[in-house]
Amino acid sequence: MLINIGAYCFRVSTDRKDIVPVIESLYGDSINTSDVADFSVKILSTSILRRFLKPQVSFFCDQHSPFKPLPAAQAYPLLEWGMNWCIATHDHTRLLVHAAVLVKNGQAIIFPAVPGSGKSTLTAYHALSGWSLYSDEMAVIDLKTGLVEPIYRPVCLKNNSIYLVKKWFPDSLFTPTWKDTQKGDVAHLKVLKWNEHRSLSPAKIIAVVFPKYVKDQELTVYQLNQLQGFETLSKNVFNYTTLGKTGFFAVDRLIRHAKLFEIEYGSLQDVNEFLAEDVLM
Amino acid sequence: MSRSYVLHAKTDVVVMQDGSGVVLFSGFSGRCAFLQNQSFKVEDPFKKPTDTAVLLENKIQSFEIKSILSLNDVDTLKVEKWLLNNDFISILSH
Repeated sequence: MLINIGAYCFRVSTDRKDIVPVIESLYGDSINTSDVADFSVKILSTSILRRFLKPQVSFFCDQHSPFKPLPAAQAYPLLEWGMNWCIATHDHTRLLVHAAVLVKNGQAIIFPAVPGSGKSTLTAYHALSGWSLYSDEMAVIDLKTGLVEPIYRPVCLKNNSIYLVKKWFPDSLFTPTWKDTQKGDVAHLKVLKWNEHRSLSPAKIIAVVFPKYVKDQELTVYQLNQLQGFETLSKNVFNYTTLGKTGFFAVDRLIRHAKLFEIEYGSLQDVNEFLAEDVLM
Repeated sequence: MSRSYVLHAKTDVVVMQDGSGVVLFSGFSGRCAFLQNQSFKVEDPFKKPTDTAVLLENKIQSFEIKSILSLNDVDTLKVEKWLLNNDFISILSH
């Protein structure tokens, strides 16, 4: 099947029939047969012996398998991680930042963050509270225009955030929870329908916010200077070294035209108010 | 003693508009150097280094580390040595 995620198209095949309904639930409305694929990926069971004894699956991009096999029960998360890997390691025509992207009134805010900073919980909360989800995992930025492009992917929730987001938004579409992956328990959340995603346009980045969740912490906002912003942001660019000088000037342009903040927060409502009152123009 | 430097042919520099410092990129190694302006204060967010135009427009001009970054003599030597060893700059004159 061909999955169109907006900026990229994946040809996906698998011998694991159990993940097909999951793929269809998340991407069913963007599956088509006419587009040319950017990436051809597979999730395949490993050896015949392994089909009976602790079954495992491998991810392939063309004939290349970049990861070690994982337990078969983690086939779907492996597909999502593999798709991220394909984009991050192959697309050198855009600046790819490890960041969530939320947009309101045509103004984009990107949230680069290290694992455990609460990025996906923050993304899910805002995406289901009036913001447009452009990405949970990767900001895809056009090198010529500096605009961030929307990509059609679910939000990847981990551990306790699965429980929280289900409690806040019980009517949303969640995949099953996959236990004990390398990132802990994982579930995916579908936020937009394909026709809603298609109505989104590339957006101007007005701010870069580095979030950090600290339990019970009152919202604390630090305004970063451009040097701090440049250094921190460049560390979150997947293809910074590959792009070389082009990436260097792309980051420079981004930080010159964006507000730069680091926030520590314990309440997503506080973050929402901060973004609406102090960041959006 | 004043030392002047030229940037390597494959070194690019951007000066932060808010005066917070300078970032160098080496096209040889793909590495960046983030150099903070020691006199930068949040209260003066738009203070511009005086050498901005020189740096951006003409790489042959001397690269005056001490004045751009408001460093003392000891720190200037350390930064110069690091930039020299990592192929961001070359000595122009003594």
